[in-house]
Amino acid sequence: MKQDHNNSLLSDAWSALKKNRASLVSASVMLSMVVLVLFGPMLSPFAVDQTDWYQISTAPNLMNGHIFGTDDLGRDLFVRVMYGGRISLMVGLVATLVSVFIGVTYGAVSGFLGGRVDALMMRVVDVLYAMPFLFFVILLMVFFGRSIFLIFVAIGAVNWLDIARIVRGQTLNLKGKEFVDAAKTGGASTIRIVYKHIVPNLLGIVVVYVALTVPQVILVESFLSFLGLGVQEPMTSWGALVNQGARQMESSPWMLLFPGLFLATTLFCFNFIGDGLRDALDPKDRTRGNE
Amino acid sequence: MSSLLSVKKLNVSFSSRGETIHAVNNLSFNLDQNEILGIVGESGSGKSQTVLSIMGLLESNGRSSGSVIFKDTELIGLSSAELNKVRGNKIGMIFQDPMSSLNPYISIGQQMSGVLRQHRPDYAKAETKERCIELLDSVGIPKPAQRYEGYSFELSGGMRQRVMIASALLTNPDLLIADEPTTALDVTVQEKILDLILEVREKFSMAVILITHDLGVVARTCQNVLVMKNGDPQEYGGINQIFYSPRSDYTKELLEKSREVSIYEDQEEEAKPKQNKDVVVSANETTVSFEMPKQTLFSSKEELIAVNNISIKVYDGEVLGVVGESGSGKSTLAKTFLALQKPTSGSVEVFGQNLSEINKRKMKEAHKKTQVVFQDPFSSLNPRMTVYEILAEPLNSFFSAMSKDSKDKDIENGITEVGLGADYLGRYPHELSGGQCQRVAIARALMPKPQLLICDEAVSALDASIRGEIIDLLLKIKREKKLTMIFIAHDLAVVRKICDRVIVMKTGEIVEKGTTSHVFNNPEKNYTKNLLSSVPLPDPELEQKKYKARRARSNSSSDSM
Amino acid sequence: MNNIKFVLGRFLGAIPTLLALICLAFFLVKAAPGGPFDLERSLPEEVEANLRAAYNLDDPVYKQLYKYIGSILQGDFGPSFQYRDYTVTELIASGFPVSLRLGAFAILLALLFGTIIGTTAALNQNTKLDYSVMFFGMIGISIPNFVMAPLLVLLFSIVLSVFPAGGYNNGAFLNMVLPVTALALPQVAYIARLTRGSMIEVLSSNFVRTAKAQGIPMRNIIFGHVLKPTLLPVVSYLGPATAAIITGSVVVEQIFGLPGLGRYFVQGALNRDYTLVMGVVVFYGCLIIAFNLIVDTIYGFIDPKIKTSR
Repeated sequence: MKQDHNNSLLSDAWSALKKNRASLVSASVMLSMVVLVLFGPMLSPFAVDQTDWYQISTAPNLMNGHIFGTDDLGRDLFVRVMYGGRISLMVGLVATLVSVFIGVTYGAVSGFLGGRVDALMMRVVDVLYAMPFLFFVILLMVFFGRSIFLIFVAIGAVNWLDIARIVRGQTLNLKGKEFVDAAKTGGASTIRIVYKHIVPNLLGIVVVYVALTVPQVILVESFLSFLGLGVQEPMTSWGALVNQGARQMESSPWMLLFPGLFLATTLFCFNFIGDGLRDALDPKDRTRGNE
Repeated sequence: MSSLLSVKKLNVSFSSRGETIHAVNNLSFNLDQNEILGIVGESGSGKSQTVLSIMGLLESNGRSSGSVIFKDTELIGLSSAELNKVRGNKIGMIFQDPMSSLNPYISIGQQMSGVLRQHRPDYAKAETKERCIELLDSVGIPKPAQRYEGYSFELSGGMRQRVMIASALLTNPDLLIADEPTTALDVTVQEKILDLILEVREKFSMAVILITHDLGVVARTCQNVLVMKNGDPQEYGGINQIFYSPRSDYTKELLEKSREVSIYEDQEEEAKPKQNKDVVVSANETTVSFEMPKQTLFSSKEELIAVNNISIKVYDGEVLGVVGESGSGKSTLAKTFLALQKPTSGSVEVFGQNLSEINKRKMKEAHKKTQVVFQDPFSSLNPRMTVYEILAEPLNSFFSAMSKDSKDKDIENGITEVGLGADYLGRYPHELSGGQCQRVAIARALMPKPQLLICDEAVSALDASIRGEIIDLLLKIKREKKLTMIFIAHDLAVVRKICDRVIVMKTGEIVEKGTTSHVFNNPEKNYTKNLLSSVPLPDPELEQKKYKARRARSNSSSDSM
Repeated sequence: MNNIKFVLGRFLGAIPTLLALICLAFFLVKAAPGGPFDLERSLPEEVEANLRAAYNLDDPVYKQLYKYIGSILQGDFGPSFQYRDYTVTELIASGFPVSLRLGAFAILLALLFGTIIGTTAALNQNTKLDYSVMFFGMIGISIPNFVMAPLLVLLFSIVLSVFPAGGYNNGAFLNMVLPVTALALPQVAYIARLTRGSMIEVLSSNFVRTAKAQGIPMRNIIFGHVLKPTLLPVVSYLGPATAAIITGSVVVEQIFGLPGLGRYFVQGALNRDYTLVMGVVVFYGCLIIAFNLIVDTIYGFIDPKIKTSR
């Protein structure tokens, strides 16, 4: 029976995406991007840290195999962009999961308990909203070293506020719905009400916010890496590559263009997917359509 | 005499995703000076689109063709600049939902004076304000000068509709178009607004077009009637002809349906011995109050008393109606019977158990015997569960030991009992119509074989034709299962049809109680009398009499003032 | 009287936020290995002594926090680790005017163009103009300013040689064009999308239909009925927009070599200049809280629902 919910949700999401051509194109671009990032380096004869002493800062060239060119150390830019993509996308995924987990739990608990607990919990969110969070992440990086694990947690831990607010509002709304009252008189336990009646109806909004959080998170990671405060050598990410490219852009503009293009395309696609999903799944829009 | 408005072969269509939807087909009618025309039809009949196209207010994907001549001016195809010389000036319009039809972000005065600035640019500033306040006063807004500075959200629904009417009358229009002006309002407020429309029509000598789905409203107000269905005109005629000798089958059908459920129909009285019956539900001095959220850090707490010290008993096998207008506390009272709302003071006993004192197990036992059907068919079913899962839920929690086979059998019986087939079990609520959803909700309520069924406005959200079917279903179930029912409604006709006994509530208190025939035929309290007489009936002659009586009363009371 | 109460209420509401900010910063630094509160580190004697005095390291923790809050309220953020001759306050005082100039221009630009573009798109909903505005808006949101800024330099400084590639030059117009553009672009895009969405919603509301039925011309409806509710979400976005501009200024100052606060911050972060980094974070935090307070108050005066419920 559980599959039924997932099926209906997925089919909702799918029919929503199908109607929105921009989202559909974005989704397929993203899918190819993931495949390329995962398997692309295998097609290249070069390793990520391999220095080609004869090809330092060369422009993109199909003949010598450096299709994106090389950087100032003679490393193949295509392979580096792919490796950077792995890190950026992984940060996007993991940190989003962290933030969605925190946000959904916090929001659902706050909304479901209601009353004073809810008021207090939302006041905390209000206070946290006013914090310059990115700067706290930087503080964390400065104080505790620049480990990739810390990046996941730190970025995830600061991006949950929006989700918490939305989920809380939705939960409050659902709690007042007549089918929840009907379930109560139908003898359903509190756990069952949360699990069968509240959570499945939250999934739509959570899917939307996953899609909208991924680009935010990737952006934060790139921002940190661009400043030299994120992913460190020998690992790399799109943000770090853009940083290196920006320094060399006069002599080797391709070092800026390729990682910048991949980064912007990813953000662009995720924003479009998120927008399309929101138009289709956001309950606020849905009720407006019914009226 | 040439007519004020002449509509010839009006067609309205909408293009949506490459398809063309015809909303109005070949409609023609004439409207004379001072005439009141009612346009009646159910939802989707094209009655609203007709007037919106006259006013040039169709959505951007809408097209109108044909001819609409208003005082020698052809309105179809007119540029919006030319149209703006007519609408708001010669033709005023008011809408269904007075809550959202006024701008909450600017003051009432700003909105009203904006109309005069547009159509009477020669007025001086003070003159404009004076005229607005004068109009507010003439539609019965108390303290008009103060309201002029205020905002629409500070007013009740009825007051907002009065402000809408005042805004429409600012320019002394020749025609007032009212699109379902009272649908969102309580009956007593509806009566006042309809009377106001009749009154200002005389005072300003205008014609009126009234759009409504309610034949009672037409009978009360109109001289001529146009009946529409699916965009096609069905019948046009004088009020008496339409109501007493209808020609088209559709008009007959509409009239029949509206008379089927009526406050004047006497149900067959079943001789029921009231003595020695067990008490199923009793409320003992029950009060429910809510704390209002504080507006600012410094304001003091406010309390809203929804149910005020109410004591009632419901006996085994009877159908008790709870009637009241919005804010009367009737739904809150029902929630206390279901243990969804704790009384602030007093107690509620269901099947002899005090709901505030019993433990979880006994509460479950009480729930098993007490089930509920809610108003909104869409929000009362979980959109992510199939009909099967919805019906299985009460079985799983009350009869967990039951085998899957017998559960399946119960569920199948349950769904056929409410008139749907077993093929509905795999569907999701959004694949069902409103009436079908309500049938599923009824089936769910019957799954645990309850002894008490509470219907909280269970038929209010449905179209008139479907409403009749659901009422019949409920009556059939009640007879077959010997259920006790509590029926909460604002619709007096429905209560009259179903209930044995009635209590009338107002602002949390019981105004009157008694057997249905007693309360409806010989109401003792003025509030109840008022409530009953304000229900418009599909009988023009009767409504005329009532209107004359009201006018006589209000004239004598204003004389004595 | 009510107005004073209202503003006072908002002001009091901001105090816990401010305290939370300071405490968070304090304990973060306190927990940091090798930070100014870490006693096991080797620093030159004089610095050590300065730090001990500045942070009252010999006191119990609650007293340290109390005194820290006290000194912050007096505008004293202690001495810098890196720039030994300066206090953090002096560094903030020298960098902030540059950042303020940059940020103020950017936000004004973003508001002006964002609302105009958004309104234009909304009034031409579902036309080619609208679609292209939405498309470029999405691009504007999706290109981070640390990609946009180098691209602008590449195009306008290196290829076209119209604007200088960097340097402050006392805030000369030509030097400010590229940094302000890079900083403002994502916000222009965001505000345009926000305005468009908000206006479309307001345009479809029943009260606009009422105004049309009253024969009021579209232009008067826009100015008299639509503009105010349309701009309310934009006003409440000003708070987050400020935070975004501050964050963005860190990168932009870095790329264009502007001597602003953000640049000090990054240098401090890279050189583990704890006091400087902490000082800047607290300063920015206060700035954001103060700005949110102002925006909140403005909102309360515009929205009649809040205004009359006071």
